[in-house]
Amino acid sequence: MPTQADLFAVAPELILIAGAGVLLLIDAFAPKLRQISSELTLLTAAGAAWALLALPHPGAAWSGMMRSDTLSVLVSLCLLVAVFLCSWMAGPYLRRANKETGEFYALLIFATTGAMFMASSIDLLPLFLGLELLSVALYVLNAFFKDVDVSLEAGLKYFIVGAFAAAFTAYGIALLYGATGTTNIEVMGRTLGGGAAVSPVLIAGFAMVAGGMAFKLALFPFHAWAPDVYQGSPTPVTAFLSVVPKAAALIVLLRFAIAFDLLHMGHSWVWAAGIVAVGSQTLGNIVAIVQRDIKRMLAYSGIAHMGYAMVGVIVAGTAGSSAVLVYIAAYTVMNIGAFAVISLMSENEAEPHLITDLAGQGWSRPLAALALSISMFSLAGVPPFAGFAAKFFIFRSAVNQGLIWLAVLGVINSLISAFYYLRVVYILYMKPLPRRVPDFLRSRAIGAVAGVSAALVVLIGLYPTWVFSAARTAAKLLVR
Amino acid sequence: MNPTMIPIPSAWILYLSAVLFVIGAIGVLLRRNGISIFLALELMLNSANLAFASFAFRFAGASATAAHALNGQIFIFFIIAVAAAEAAVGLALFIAMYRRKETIDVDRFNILRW
Repeated sequence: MPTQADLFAVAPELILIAGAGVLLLIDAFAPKLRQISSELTLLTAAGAAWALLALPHPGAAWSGMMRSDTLSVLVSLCLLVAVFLCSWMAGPYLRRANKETGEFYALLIFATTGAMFMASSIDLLPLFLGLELLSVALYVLNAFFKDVDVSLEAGLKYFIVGAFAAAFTAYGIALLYGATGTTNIEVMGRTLGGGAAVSPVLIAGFAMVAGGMAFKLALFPFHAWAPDVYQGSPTPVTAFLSVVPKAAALIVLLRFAIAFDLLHMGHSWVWAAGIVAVGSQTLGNIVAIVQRDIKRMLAYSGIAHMGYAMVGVIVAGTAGSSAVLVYIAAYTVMNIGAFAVISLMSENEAEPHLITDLAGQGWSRPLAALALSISMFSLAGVPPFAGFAAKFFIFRSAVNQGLIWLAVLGVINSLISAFYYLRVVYILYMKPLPRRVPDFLRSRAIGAVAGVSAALVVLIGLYPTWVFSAARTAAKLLVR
Repeated sequence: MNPTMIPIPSAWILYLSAVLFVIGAIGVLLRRNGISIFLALELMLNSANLAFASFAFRFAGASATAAHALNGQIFIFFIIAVAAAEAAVGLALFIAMYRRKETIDVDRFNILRW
């Protein structure tokens, strides 16, 4: 019998769905109100954040299918910040292309709701539904500029790859169910902890679900879609896509890693996941160096960053999980900050966003360039920015766990990555303006998004212990 | 023994689902026509349904595990619904592609590469 506590557990999601419903209705019946769609989205996200922070958190809810606690609050807050910033920057971007409709924002909100469900589910049924809500909304968002070839191509590619990954996840869940008789991750973990034999069916099932998540994270060797989809999608969608599905998929992997106690289950997981992590870092960083389009470069950078975050998933435990949570928070703000400036510094959505087009902008658009530089320094892991703190916690947890090779290879990779991030800063400030100055977008709203993100990057970088102590409380609940 | 009396072992159904899944996966990787890819994707999702059904069938057979059967059977309905949602969006994308390119050969979409 559902109780009021169950309703409290999903109150933020309910507010989001209601907001999206209103947006769709406005689109259909009151087209004149369309121009407030953006503000309405911001209001909805803020309302959901209020519900998240103000309402009590009952812990297990919906007969143990979901969990509403500090962990889900922390992740959901990151997701809401992401959707808030992305829809804020989407307004001017869509208006320039004359494409502003409520359905864009409604789809963004639906995708966020799916990600929040994924992050707070401990049963694979709501988790799978959340995954699909997130993915199906994103297929449409990628192809939102359906008369622009690259956008349509991005949508089609993401659809084929995403549906392929979803089928793998579904079959993997079927195998996990066959091996344990349940679809609840925690119950599966208790069955295994009770000394039940690990069958090949269980291993195959877990491998397929983990593979499905690796697709969402764009981890090597499941990364091939990322550069094309990042480049082709409208930039606010790219910003969203680079953060929200990844945060949700990381939490899912963490839940499995802790419930199954994968670290102590055998060396094969550490080796397999370690190779995936180091492979993603190396491939992402090396291929990013030769990219000319900044969105493609950030796609490879995202592959590498998820490689670092995977190190935290391998370590698991309180230390690893809290490091991953800090990483999610830091990655969210620095990536969205970078994409906000990119959406500002582009002529239109069909042309490639060449890094060389940024030449000299450091002096003609000083504030936007400063925000981009802060994001780049942070992504490179330069102190005192958020990216440094995030990497520090990850590598420290790996060293403490005795996985020194993972930490060493990760640090070497961060050093390689500094080259291409700092090259962007170099081009911004050291190269002269080209003779034909590109006709870039001017928008206060996008500038504000970049400013807020940059401020958060600096804040997390200067006071990482605030985020870390919250992450630690959340991680303890996860491990218990 | 009379074959009409022997139930089909649930493992056979599972093997069938695995074979269908592999056929679907190969189809997605090798076919270039949008609709063929789409059919292969549906085959993969529905093979997962068949796997759920076979496991639920096995759990229902023994009284100790009969309570587990429902978990899998419920999942099937949700996968059917999800597959329908994916179909709606996927077909819409292919229609949008056809309007621009007059073809649904996915190899014709390769601008994003350099």
